[in-house]
Amino acid sequence: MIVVKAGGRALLSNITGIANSIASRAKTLGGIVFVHGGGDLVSEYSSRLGIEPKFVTSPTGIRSRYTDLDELEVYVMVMCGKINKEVVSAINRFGANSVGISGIDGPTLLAERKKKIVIVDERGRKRVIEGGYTGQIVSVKTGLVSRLLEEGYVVVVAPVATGTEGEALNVDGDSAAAAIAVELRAERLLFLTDVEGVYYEDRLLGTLNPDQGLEIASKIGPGMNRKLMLAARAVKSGVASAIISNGTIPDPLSALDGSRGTLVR
Amino acid sequence: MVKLICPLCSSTVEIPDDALDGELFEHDACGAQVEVYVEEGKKKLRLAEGISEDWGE
Repeated sequence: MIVVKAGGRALLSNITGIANSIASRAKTLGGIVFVHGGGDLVSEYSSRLGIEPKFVTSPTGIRSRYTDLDELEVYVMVMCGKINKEVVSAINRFGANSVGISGIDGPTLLAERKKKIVIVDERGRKRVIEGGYTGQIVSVKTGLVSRLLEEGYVVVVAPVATGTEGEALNVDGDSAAAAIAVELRAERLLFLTDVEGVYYEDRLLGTLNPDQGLEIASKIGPGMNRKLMLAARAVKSGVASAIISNGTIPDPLSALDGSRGTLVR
Repeated sequence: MVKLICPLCSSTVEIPDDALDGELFEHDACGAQVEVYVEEGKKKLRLAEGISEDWGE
């Protein structure tokens, strides 16, 4: 089975291509779990509701949404409602059977809320602030997802987790996909982005081993560094291979044969 | 610069005048990671806890 993650930008520009690509392989890959992002759409709906999105940058340069309680409500509504159901509808339209869940259902994704986080503020200085409603995934329970896969469903997962106190938490979609792939011992983990793969020193990288992936991840820009780090860690943890590729082409899952994008194995 | 006492080695730490509540510094003399906090209107230092980065979507 495989786990595919698509970010909001790839989804917004190519939901038809991604859905068709998934649906056409739903019966041949031993099961597909699809994790979606959608941060940009959450920002748009937050703004429509008069809630200005906030972002923070970590000391290692990773930029993340800062989720207060108001924004958490919008996050859950947009992720579990609008985006998740649009993806499920799109996949079903192409003849596959899919089910949309969030990490709360089951529960599937268990996360720990960070009560305090370190950011680099607008003056470039490190500061401790209240952590908001984001979480780091600490475990994955695969019971629900496995049952759905056994029944032949494509499982579409929104990146919302359950915290230790039962609260909903915003978790990173890439991390959710990697954690699910590791726990299900997926054959492949595919990250679909809006670029061809990982670029380093103006060159598209082809095949990397996990150690090379981790080394290069520390030298490239925010966003892609996280994907590459997670891809490398997933392979080290038992996923056979991980691919970072373009989700905006007509058949994005064609990258599963290793012919395009950046492959870590 | 403001002179404050390092909570680890008790020697002086100089931090910028505009340091904010929660701001982190490393004390070069002893290597301690210290956090600025404000109590009764005065800036003070405490040892920074092991706090991780944010990881939300």
